[in-house]
Amino acid sequence: MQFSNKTIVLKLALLIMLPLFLGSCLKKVEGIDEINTNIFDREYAGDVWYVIKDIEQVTNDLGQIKARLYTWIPKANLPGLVPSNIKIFVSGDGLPEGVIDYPLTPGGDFERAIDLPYVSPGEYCITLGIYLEDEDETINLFETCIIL
Amino acid sequence: MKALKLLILSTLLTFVGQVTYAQNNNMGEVRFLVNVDNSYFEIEINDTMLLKRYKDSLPAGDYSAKVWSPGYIMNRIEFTVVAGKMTEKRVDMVKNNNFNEYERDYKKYRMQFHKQLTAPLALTLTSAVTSGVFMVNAYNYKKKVIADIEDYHLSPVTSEIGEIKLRIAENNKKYNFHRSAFYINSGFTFLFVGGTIWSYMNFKKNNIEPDYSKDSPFKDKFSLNLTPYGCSLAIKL
Repeated sequence: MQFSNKTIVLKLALLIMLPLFLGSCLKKVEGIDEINTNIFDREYAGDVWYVIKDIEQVTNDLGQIKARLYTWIPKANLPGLVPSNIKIFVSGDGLPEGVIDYPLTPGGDFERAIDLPYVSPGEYCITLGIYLEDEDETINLFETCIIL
Repeated sequence: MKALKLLILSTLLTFVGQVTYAQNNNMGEVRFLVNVDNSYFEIEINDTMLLKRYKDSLPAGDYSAKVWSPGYIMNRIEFTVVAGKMTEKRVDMVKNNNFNEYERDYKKYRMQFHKQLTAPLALTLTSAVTSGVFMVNAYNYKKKVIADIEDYHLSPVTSEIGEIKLRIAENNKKYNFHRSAFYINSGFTFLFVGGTIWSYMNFKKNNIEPDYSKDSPFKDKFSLNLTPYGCSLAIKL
């Protein structure tokens, strides 16, 4: 077996450089710290996932005066795949706790108006949460207020 | 006239037949049983004929020969070939002292070679291959983690999200283990490469490969020339 020093050094260097070159991409996986941003995650750690766009005083068909809150779940706060309808737990001032449907809009987000009993001009608050029908459980509850 | 031609032809054929028969009748076979461990020997018979095989046909008679094999002392033998019979000649060869010494030195040299190159090189290669395995595994786990992260951001199903997160945690742990192992092992491989190069250079510096001439003493004595016009065998006496 004949080896020259140069050949051995070259071969060994190549042998080592190849895995090192390939191994340079083995960095920490990005996005690991962001796996708590899905609003359907029990361990959701993001901000309030819905927005109260507006509030107005309205009189409904029964002649009752209501404070109508226009709630919106932006597409940016939703996962990539969304169903055509989601169930949201709602509670608010003078409003009994319940689960309501949020239909999907053509724009890919969810919107729904919620009527609270009108009391007087001032602050109206509601609490929304993601309702899990199979488990009969609500997760990721957030309270938001708006001034009429 | 025709009868005369036939008579001459039959006389000629009879003569040629007789000569051939007489020649064949005078031949005997000899088989050499040469006791060497390299399976190679050369026999020079009567200073004029070189045999490189263990069996041949020779005219009946007494012969003297020299038997040579690489690493052995040339042995002089005598034998008799009997017409129409097989003669077996056993030849015991004695190893050359220089060759014994060469064999010892060469064995020592090879041992040193294995110690200073083969073993470190094998260790280096094993380490490099292990690094490669860690690297490939790390890549596979990384791919799984990335795919699961994508699924996480797609899924609207809470139970599925829980499973995805468990998978991410598990595969990410494995990924981190394998990539750490890759970097640590690569460090060792680097050291082994340096060690192997140093060891080999040290070996080259301190060891010279022993040499022993295995040329036949009959090498220059016999020469066979083949040309388009014929062939000739030259013997230098």
